[in-house]
Amino acid sequence: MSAIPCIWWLVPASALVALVLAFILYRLMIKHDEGTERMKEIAEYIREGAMGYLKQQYKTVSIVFVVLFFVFIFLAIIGVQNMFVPAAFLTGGLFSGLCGFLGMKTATQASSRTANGARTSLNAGLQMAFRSGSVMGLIVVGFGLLDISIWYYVLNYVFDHNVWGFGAKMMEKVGLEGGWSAEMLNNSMWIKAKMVEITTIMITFGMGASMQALFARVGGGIYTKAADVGADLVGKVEAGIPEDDPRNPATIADNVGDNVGDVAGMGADLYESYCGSILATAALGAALPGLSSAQMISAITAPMIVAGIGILLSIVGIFMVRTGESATAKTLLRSLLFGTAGSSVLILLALMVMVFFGLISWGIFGAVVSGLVAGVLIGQTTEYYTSDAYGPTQGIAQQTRMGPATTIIDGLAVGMMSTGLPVIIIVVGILCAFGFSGGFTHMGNGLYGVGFAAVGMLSTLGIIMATDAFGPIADNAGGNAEMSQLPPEVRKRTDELDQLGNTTAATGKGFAIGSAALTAMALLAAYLEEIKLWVGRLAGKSFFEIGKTKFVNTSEQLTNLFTGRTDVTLIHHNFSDLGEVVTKAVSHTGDILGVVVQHSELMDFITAYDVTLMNPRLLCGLFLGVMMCFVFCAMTMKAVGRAAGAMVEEVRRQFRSIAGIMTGQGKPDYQRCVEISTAGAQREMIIPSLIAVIAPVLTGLLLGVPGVIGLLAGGLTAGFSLASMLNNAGGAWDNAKKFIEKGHHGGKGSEAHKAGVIGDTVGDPFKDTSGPSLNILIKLMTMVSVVFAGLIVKYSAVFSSLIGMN
Amino acid sequence: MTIRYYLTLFPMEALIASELTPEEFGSYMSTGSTRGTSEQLIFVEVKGELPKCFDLEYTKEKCANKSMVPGKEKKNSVYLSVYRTLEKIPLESLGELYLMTRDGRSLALKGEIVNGSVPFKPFYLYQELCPIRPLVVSKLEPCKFGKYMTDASNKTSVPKIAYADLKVIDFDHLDSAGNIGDLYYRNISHLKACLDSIMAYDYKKAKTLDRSRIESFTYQLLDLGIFICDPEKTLYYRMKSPKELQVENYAWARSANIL
Repeated sequence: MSAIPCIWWLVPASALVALVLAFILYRLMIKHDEGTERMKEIAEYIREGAMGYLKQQYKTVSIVFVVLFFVFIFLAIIGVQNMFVPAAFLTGGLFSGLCGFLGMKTATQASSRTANGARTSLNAGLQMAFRSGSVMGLIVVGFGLLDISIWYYVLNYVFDHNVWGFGAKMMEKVGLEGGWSAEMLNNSMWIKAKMVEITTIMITFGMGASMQALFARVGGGIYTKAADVGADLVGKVEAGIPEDDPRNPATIADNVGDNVGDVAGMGADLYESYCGSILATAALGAALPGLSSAQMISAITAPMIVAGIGILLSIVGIFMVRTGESATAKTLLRSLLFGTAGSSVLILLALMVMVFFGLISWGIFGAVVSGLVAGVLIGQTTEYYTSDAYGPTQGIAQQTRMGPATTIIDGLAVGMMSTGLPVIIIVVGILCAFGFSGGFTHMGNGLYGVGFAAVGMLSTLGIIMATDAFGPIADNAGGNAEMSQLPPEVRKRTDELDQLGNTTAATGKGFAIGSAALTAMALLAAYLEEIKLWVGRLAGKSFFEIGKTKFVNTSEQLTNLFTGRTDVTLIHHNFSDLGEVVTKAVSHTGDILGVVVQHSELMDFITAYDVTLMNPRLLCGLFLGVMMCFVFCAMTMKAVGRAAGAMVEEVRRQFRSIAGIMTGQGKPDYQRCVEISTAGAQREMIIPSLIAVIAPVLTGLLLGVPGVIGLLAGGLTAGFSLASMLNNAGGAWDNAKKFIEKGHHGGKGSEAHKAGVIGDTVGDPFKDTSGPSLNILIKLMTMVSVVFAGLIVKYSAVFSSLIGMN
Repeated sequence: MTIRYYLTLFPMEALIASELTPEEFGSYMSTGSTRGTSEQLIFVEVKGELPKCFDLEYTKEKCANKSMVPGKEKKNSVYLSVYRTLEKIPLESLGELYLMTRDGRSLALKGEIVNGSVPFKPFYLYQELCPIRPLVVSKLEPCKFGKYMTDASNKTSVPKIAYADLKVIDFDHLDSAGNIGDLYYRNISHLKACLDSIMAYDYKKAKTLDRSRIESFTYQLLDLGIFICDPEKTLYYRMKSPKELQVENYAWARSANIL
């Protein structure tokens, strides 16, 4: 039996379609004129800055990747790491990096062309920005699914053709005797074991993407805010220069930062969520109870197929975004919503067809609906708490009249209050997804449903990402129009596009954090599957003992282990394809003394490892997880402060030393500011990022699996709440300032405005550095735990005993 | 060597000679040769003849010395007077008025001698600019206010005066009145009391609203424009409308926080 059904080929095919279409859209975009000489010059500065930053970032990241590559090889040599992981780690990072590079290249080419389009009409500007944003969306989903498809195919090939003896090793593991033969391909026990092995190996591939994402988000976040704060504090506040004025030395770095943070950062974040959700759900599908091998393959490939269909329907959605030449901002927004909502409705119809053909159940359909609805609702709550059309942001604007202190107090309060609804929505979403898919009957089904909710939410990522990337492109187009001093009507159009981008970005941020929570939840469940895999491996032909329970690989081993024990009862289970086999050994007091790993359930490991709140290891892990979120935020915020300080000094220096800078006769040294932001970001991103890798490993070695689960649960819950708070507080401060600038409470230059600017400056690292980085922190910590599961399972007992915690 | 003369009205009164064009001079005065300062500035180019009380020979000498320094051929500023200057210069000699923003951008306004008719307002708010600088509420329309302030029979008169007519805001919708800065917020209760006071008594023509905080004066509140009066004539510099600024002076209006 092949693990690659015909319909699976839709997956690589749709990935390739996405990449080809991205290439076509890019070529079409690049054919358009960039506008005047000045527009070209400005665009070139930004391109150079962006590419210079990426080059430096990839150099730094490469060093970390090379170090980790050798760490993984060492771990593979000592038998606690899969030998595929080092290579897969690199491909995950490579594809993610490629997405960032191509996305930035597209965005920096598109902004001047969008500004040039706006010289003709609003619609021409929108089409240019949105189609260019679509390139980013299609690249992310295309490369993500291509990476998954390639590895799924390669691993199946390796096992099915017994490359390097992998097929035979699997036979040994499940107790099959005799030499390797092609007949194994029809052996149900072998197929199941192979699929569990493949899916749990594949999940570790996400580590490369996670690492790349964290560097992109943290580095990008530091870069963009250092430039922004430097440009604002000296240029705007001290010198009275308006936004995007070419006399401000930091203005190019500020525009580069929009791309670095919102294009490369957001792209890497969602790339990681996209891959992570599919891989985790596939691994959870392989662990579903009572499935035949055919059903198991269907459960594993279903999330990939849904993602593949999602790509095709996202493309349909992208082409649904159309407006007439006389379009207004309102019709533009309606058009964008029509595209995204249209894709979501189509994906639901496609899922109904999948239910009809028996590829998924109605329960999974319900889980996907839960995920999609949760994503939309979180986006709406983000909009409510951060848009100046509603009370919370207007309330902050009102408080600016009293001064900076009350502005900060109210902003923090709005941020904290804003965590309420998203948390309730995600809780209800998880419970619905869990319940619809049968989790209250069998936990494994429920967790698979939660994973599928994330997959469903991210299935339309192609178009969601397009609307997200639209924001920074439109923002940069506005900057280009200002710096090139285009006529007022053109700047009015680019302003309208920018405002539209701000609205879609708010929804996108809610979507990113919502999907990160669901993905991390699915990865957390998949972590236990990884533990299961390593327990089986370490048991080998003997057994692996956790607490009172001995884990073995075959029913025969379990029977032999407890033969003659009158106080032990062997539990049999009747499988449709395997017949009646021994699965567990239970003492007369009800304690589980032995389990066959292949037939084990999640609860067997939870019981064996004592994953309960009464276990101090887990409780300590919880504390550590919560602490990690706060310390990580503190480190990234301090990093922004330091990098921004250097930028402030540089901008002041240039104003002092370059004659004629204010009259436009002297030219600012834009490159120097770009270099300062780049160097600051590179220097500052290393330690927070490494701590995110080291913490789960250290926690695992000292507190074992319960400690890691506590760490991840604490990180997930606190990280989700804290990220919502930081994102929304920062967004609300920003928009309260903009609300004042629209002519409320005295408008620009008033004391209220000054307080608003202070609130916005405080909120900048909240919403663009620490908040978005938390999305990745919670996923990366889970991914690191998954990748280092073998090390933890084997050595945690040794390390615990060293400090007397046996 | 072309020497120009500029009469600065705000924030200080002075007659300054310079070899710079008005835009260059304004930028230099607002921001320095490298950005050492950041200051709003209002000045008028003096185009007509200057009275003999100003030492013009001194200016020529200073500028000639400067032209000998390599690379610094132009003299930026030579101060000729810093006290009671406006009163000595005839209105006929005053050319265009320049509003400089903190970042050195200039808006040139053309002046004309007017006799009275301006749009009616229930009350007028004037920021006196030179030689005295209180913020005043009055029921007199601009030309009459100028006459009143330069009328020697008035105990608080001055020989000549420059003042700006400011926007009158609907007090009931203050929170959404646009980019108006802090003036109204800071003075609203006092403003209402002053208004009651001038409306209640016919003899009361004007009342001082604020004597000291002129640094918060911004161009955002300029309404009809700027007036310079002597007892005989009123020289009126009409402020451009937001629409005109949007089309003709977009960069200045952004720097002035109007757009």
